[in-house]
Amino acid sequence: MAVQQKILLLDDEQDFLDLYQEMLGQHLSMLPEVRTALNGSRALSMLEAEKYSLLILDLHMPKMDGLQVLAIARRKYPELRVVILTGVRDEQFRTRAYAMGVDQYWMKPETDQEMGLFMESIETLLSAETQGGFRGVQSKSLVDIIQLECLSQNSALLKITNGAVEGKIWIQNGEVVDAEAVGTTAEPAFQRILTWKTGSFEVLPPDPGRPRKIFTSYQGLLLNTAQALDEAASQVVQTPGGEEVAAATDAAVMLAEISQLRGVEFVLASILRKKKRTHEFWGIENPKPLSDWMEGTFDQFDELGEMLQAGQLQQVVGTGPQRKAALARSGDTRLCVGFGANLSADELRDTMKNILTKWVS
Amino acid sequence: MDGQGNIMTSTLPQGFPEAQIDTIATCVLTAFQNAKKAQMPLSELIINFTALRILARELRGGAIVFLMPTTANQPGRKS
Repeated sequence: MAVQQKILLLDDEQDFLDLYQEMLGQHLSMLPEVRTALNGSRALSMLEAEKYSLLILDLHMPKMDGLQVLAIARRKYPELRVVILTGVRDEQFRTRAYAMGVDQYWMKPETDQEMGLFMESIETLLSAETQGGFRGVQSKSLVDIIQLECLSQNSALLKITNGAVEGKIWIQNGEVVDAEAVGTTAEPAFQRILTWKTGSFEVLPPDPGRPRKIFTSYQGLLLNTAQALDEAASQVVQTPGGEEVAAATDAAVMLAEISQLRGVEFVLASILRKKKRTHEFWGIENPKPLSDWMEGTFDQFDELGEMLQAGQLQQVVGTGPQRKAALARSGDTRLCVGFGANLSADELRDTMKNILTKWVS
Repeated sequence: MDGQGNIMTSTLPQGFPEAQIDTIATCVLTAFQNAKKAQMPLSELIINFTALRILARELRGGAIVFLMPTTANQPGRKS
């Protein structure tokens, strides 16, 4: 006999809880039992007392907000499915929530269509729970997910987020039919997305109306992309001293582009190639002291973040009498960008966002 | 903290692990000192983690450090 699934709804607004308790309890095919909690402490007590299949929670609540509840729930109940349902549109919170391990992140539906999509996604999530299978999809690579969806003859829309950049892959009946990323579509967009080494993704309900622009099979697409990436990685040149170094390239071109941005005085990139870091730079005569500072600062603060359980190190900004410097990472690459001392904090933040977008793309 | 990493005064709760305080002090002072060695002296560092922001101001070799958790409850936000 199938055990009735339990959903726990957490929000600080009683009206919202009443509405969604009714919607979820009566309109999902598996008729789950839906319980509610008005605050994080109550929700955590309820999770402690009984087993739940799904936690749906708001982010912005007094005293204990959604991220704090999420951090505790994720640690104590790794099998619990978690969906964020928030009224605030903020890409930073979305990225942070996915980094902490949510299954889905939704804006509170405002139209009937959005409500329909939300209910459908909850139905799919709970169905996956009853059919068994493995959690931790986020630990799979994008290639794994594409292969899984295509082999299962599924239809889905994959939305991939890599920092400030977003891409989409449309899958219909096990075939990749279109892709979109950074102003490109079809196969070039697909290849670009697959070059992103890190990021987060969501599996959204399919979009059957999307016209087909990719006609290569998914195996062919993956093979072509893998070959292109291998070719790019294997381009090496020999220096007069006989040392093999990566051909230059994309990184040097990128540094030159970055140097044109307003306020940028120097750029230093530490790129991981075949488990070894190489440095490329612009605007610095002797990069070694600065690269030592950059690597040391990254290493120390990465360790500190782990010790404090503060999450990933995102950015370091240093201000001095003569200049400002920002440290950030894009995938395996560490960047140190120097700015004039007069650049405002907002301008620096926007320029760094621009730089990271360029680097990823 | 002073230039040797000794904590001079703190508003952290007593239960805050001393080892973590020492590590924060070491990381911050090392970052300031090594920046100076790299000919890029800094007077302020802002370190952003997913769930925490650290603001450190250099004070004549020592530093004052502010620890600020980052949560969804930012001013002016409503759900």
